[in-house]
Order: sequence, then C-alpha cells, then structure tokens
Amino acid sequence: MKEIDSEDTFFKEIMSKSRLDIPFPDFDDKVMGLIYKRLLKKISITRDIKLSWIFFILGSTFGIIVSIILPKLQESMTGIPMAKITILFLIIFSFLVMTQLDSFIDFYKRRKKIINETLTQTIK
Amino acid sequence: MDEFCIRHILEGDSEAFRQIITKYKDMAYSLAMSVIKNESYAEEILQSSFLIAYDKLSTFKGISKFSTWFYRIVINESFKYAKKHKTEFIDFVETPPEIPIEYENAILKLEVDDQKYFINEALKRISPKESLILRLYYLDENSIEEIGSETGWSTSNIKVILHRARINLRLILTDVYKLDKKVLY
Repeated sequence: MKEIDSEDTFFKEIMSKSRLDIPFPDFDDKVMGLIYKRLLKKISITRDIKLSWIFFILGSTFGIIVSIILPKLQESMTGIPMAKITILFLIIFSFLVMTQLDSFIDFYKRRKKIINETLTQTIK
Repeated sequence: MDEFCIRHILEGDSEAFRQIITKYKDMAYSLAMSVIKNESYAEEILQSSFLIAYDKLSTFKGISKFSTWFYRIVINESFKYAKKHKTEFIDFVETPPEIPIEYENAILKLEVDDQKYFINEALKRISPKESLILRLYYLDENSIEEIGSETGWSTSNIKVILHRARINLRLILTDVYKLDKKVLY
C-alpha cells in the first residue's frame, strides 16, 4: 500500500511538470478572428437565402401572370402561333420552377451540412 | 465563471468566448500534444476544437463539467486528426531516442525547466493513449469515471492503460534518460 502511495506521489510530482504552454502568443486572437469571420459568413448566408426566396417567389409570380396572359393574346409572334409560344413558355417555366424547387428542398434537407462546409472553407 | 461566460456567449456576446479560450487553451494543448506530438498540428486541432465548442455551446447542458465536455471534443478531434494523417506520426512513436552520454552526469544538476523538458520528451515517446491518460489523471486530476466520459473508454481499459503508462514512463525516464527518481522530486 505504501508503495502504491509513493508511486502515486512520484507520478503526481512528475506529471505536475508536464503541462505545456501553448507556444503561439496570438492563438486567442486567431481563434476569435475565425469566430467573427464565421459569424459574418453566417449572416451573409442567411441574407443570401432570404434573397433567393424573394427572387424565386417574384419569378414564379411573374411566370404565372405571363402564362395566364399569353393564351389571351390572339396575334402570332414572328409567324409562330401564340398557342405554340404559350406551350413552349409553360414547359420552360415549369422546368425552371421544378428544378429550383428541387434545389430548395435539397438545400433545406442538408442545410446544416452545407452551411458548415461553407464556413469551414471560409477559415481555410 | 464558466457558467457566466457560457450564458453571455449564448446571449450573443461572442467576446466572452475569449475567456474560455484563455482558461482552457494550455491544458487542451497538452492533451492534443499527447495524441499528436507535433506543435503545429496540435494548434490546428485546438482551433477546430474551439470552433466546434463555440458552435455547439447551446448543446452543453451543464450535466458534466465544462472542461469534461470540452476535453472530449479536443480528444475526439485529436484522434480523428491522427487517424487521417496516420503515416506522419509513426516515427514519433517508434524511433528510439538518441541520448548523449554526458546527460548522465548533467542530470544531477537538473533545473525545473530541464525536468519539464525531459518529462515532456518522455511523454512524446510513449503511446498517445498512455500519455493522454497520464495527463488527464495526474495533471488535470480527473477521476477514472471522468476520464471515461472524456475519452469514451471503459473503466477497466483506462486502468490498464494507466498501469502500462506508468511502467513505460518510468522506464523511459530511468533507462533512456538515466534519470534518478530522486532527481525528479
């Protein structure tokens, strides 16, 4: 028992001298700098997400209005009948809405991971 | 103090995190060095550990000590880094040290700084797990249970590693560095 105690004291004494001081004097500032950089990036990501929603809604509303107005126009455009132009517009419009909506859903499913990856790239 | 800082950080005062960094950086650095044994890699690990701690601070429920929670992040990051850069660390563990003969006489005049140097060099030469456990147990004075929470290892495993660590450290200090036990007191 005495031996165990003495061994414990020996290692306590030895290990009390094993604390290392970080040899980088600017370490605190560096980490705080990274934290502020990430906070700024986070703010800009949130702003970008808001803007992309606004433009998506504006674009969709504009597309819906055009697709309502187009069939009502009787004239043809450069010889192409309006019905064909309307169908072509609807195909392109639905394709764009679908792909954008798909990207939004995909983004919201993986948003934490995507934001973290972007933030990690920011600090490198 | 920790609770006060954490509350402030969660309320949006990011600058309060500086106090956490100042308080824990040296011990965290010692732990990262136990695993990685390279200064600049340890700095990288510490940076990412502090960033993770900052990001996940809201998940800290205060059930354990903040240090236990934070050191777990540091230890996980260190082992993750070591696994990723496996080949780079093999030399640190396996190359036997070359000790000049004159150390044998000089050892009797060891100053505290020299003792620190030899002890830390010896810790570099034992396995990452062993030096980590020694630092957690003797330097940070954690109980076996706390070490279990920090590392995720079982109690019996920790006891075995601790026992092996003591033998290996003593062996390196006395056989390789020719340090007399009396000199180290």
